[in-house]
Amino acid sequence: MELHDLVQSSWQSLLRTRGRSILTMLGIVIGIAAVILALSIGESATLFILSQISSFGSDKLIIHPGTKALTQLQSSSAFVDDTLTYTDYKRLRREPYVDAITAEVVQSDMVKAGSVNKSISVMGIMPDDLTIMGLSMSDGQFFSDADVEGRTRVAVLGISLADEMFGQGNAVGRSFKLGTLSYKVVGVLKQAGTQFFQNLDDIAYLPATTLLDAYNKKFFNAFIVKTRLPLDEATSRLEIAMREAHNIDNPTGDYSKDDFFIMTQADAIKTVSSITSILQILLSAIAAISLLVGGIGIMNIMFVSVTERISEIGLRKSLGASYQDILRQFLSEATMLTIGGGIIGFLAGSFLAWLAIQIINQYQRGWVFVISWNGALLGFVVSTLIGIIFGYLPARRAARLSPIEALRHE
Amino acid sequence: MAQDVIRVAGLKKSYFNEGVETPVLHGLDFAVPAGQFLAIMGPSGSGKSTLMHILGFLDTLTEGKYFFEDQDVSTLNEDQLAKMRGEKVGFIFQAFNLLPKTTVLDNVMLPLLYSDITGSQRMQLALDSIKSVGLEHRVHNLSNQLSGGERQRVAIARALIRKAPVIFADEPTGNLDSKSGAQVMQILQKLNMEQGHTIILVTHETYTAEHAERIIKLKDGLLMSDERVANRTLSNGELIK
Repeated sequence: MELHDLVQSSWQSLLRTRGRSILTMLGIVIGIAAVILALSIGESATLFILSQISSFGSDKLIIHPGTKALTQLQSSSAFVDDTLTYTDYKRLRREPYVDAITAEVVQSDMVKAGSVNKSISVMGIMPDDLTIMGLSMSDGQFFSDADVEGRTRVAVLGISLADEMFGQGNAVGRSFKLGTLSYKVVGVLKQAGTQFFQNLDDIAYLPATTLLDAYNKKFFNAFIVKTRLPLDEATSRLEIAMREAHNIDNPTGDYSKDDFFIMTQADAIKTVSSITSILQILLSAIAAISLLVGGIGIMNIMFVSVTERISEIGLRKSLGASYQDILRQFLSEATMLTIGGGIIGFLAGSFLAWLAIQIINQYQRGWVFVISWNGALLGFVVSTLIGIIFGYLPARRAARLSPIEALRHE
Repeated sequence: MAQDVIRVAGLKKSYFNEGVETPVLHGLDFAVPAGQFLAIMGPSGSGKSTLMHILGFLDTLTEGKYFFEDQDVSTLNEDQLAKMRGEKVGFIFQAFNLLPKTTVLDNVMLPLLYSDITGSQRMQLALDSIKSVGLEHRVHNLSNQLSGGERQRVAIARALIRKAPVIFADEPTGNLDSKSGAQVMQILQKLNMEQGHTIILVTHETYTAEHAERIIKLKDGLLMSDERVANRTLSNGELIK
């Protein structure tokens, strides 16, 4: 029996019991759709996270307070130590290989300007932030080192926030209140979009020292350093400088003695990949269960189908069909059902993933829909295997029927 | 004298069910020359259907010998038997056994699935076969849109398509009205006389059996009589010249 005959003959058989064929396929459709949906959104999420991390740049180091996690999966200590001070900042800034350095500290507060009265993110940063984050001014000036030193009450606004508070192009020179204190707007940034999961256009920026004073803080959340040295060399030099600044005696470089740790973009990507691969395993396990259920459904229906078609099997045998012919016919019927279900499941899963990405994009810009070709390949292989594995027992039962017993069955 | 296409010697058949032996055929000896129209008669339970199934390679004998075209059938394995069923014999059943919701053409072509005949040849063979039973106007109708007589003619076309030398007909008129039944018998006689097919007809009606040249009567698994038909019924005048 040739392949073409086999496919055509199986197709005709499936069409004769159209309704049941569709219901049988449904189990596989749902299983594969779930796999594709999960993988597709997973890939989109990974892509989004990586693009956010990449926006940070590969020539920068970030210094965090606390002790370095020893493995990728171990989190840093639950209590973030407050260790990064203004003195550290000034100290590191004098290092010759540091091209630019900023200190960051984050706060949220109520902003008041005209009719606007809402909670916003406030970031304390340094003048070098402009170069480090690759930002530029739309209007006015960025604050200066003198503003940092003098802790003046000036602010630079993200463009969306500026427009909302003062109307388009009107912000520079105006004043607004954050909590109880008032600040003067000296500049407005150009549109910067989302970086590192923050919408930079919706933030008010203060000199970092001004923010520390205003909110009674002493410590920064992080330093970001831009260097022209290779990152590993810069890292070890910064470690030495920080240990000196914090009087840590650590000649062997034992990270558990430090009260800070340094990360690069590559470290962040590594962490993300290890998290996403765990997610992939988890999703695959769930998908495997749903496909197993679908496969058992196929087997069940194929057994019913064999029982219902005993006299047809007898007829085929009386017309010259061999054991192999009958076995292949039933196997190919099962496999066509599962492959068909796989294709429909792939389309449905991809469509749902596309829809989900559209919805997510309403809340967080920068998500891109990706078709999971890995998932498509996996789905195709898995659905074919399910057809063969779960179709085999019923097919064997059909093929083993003695022609005369099958013909007599009515 | 024509060569024997079928020869059985001491043919016995028993069924075994949970250790209990039920004998059905008690030792039969006969031969069928090529081109003969033979009827096997007997009341129900006489073993006539079992005999036909053994002769058609659908069932196996318990004891004795069966030679088809001088080949000892008991030496054949399941795959070889399947090949014999496909190439050497065609079956016509009382209940027609057509695939439901399937066109006449596809039903008739079904045996070719299990042959080496491919592509364009298939269509030609099927159309020829359908024409020989006078159903060329029904080629694309579905099997369930046909009358009983038409269905049985489709089954005959299907049995003919591989040009098998022997056609087995198991109560072919049993589910038909007398007019359709006569039509079916006419076709069988024509196949026998004009195309030289050996036909083995199983029936319990004397009237139907008398279309054959020779009648074997079975009773309780034994051969009661084996006679030539003296006054053979011919379907109609134009058939016999």
